[in-house]
Amino acid sequence: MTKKFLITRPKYDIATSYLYDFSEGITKLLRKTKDIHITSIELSDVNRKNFENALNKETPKLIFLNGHGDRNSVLGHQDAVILDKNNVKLAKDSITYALACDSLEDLGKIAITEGAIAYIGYRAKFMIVRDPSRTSSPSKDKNALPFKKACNSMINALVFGNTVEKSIELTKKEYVHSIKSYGTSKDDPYGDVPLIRFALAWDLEFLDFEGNPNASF
Amino acid sequence: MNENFSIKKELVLERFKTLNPESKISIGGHKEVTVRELIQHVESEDEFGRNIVKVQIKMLQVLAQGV
Repeated sequence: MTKKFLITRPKYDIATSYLYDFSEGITKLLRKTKDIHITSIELSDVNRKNFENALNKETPKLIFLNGHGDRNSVLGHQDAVILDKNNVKLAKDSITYALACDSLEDLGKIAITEGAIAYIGYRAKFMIVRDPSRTSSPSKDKNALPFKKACNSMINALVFGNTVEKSIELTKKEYVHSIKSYGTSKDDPYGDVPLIRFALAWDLEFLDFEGNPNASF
Repeated sequence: MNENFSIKKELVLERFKTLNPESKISIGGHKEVTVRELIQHVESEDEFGRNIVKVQIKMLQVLAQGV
């Protein structure tokens, strides 16, 4: 039976261009995977109407949101709200992973009361340290690489059937590995390594979930 | 303020003061915060500053566990 996966990928500022790059690999991989049907809403198409239409039409079991967020909402193109308390019931019976700031804190809890199986996200701001000379080409930004690895660890773990709890555990291990092993003075021209380690520790601390720990895709 | 927090706060401040004060972290949305501003938050002991102390101490604990 084909599993249904929905991803949103806005790209209209530096922050979303990094998240867009982070999710490039999983998007390409799943387009070649026969037993998973991927619906990818991209760029200026990431608006509330398209998102709601996709949820209604596809009823995806796994939803991966990339974008800005706050405690009450996740955003699409040009900061348009695509998910909040008024439509989160459309995510019922699904697992949502929101790679966005803050949304787990309030929206994640509401999602569960509205019927979602699980909601994974961050209880605070999602931090990242960028190489200022690479912001126009995120895929070449070495500073962003450990953040990309951790985010990919989470979505890969979920896509390939790990439980929510196990996926969180694997991702936290990836954060810990990066904190311990990242960087040397040779590849740190701006002295960013201590700051990168701090930001990784921040994301490690505030990554969490609401809902069923044993749920899987 | 308990003594334990004060010690941790001083430790975190001393570490941040060794960094380039203009280095930036993106903290979501369209915001960036410099090391100088991180230090200000820690010094003022606001909610963000207290979380900075908590996370920095956790990071040091992770590093102390070895590779």
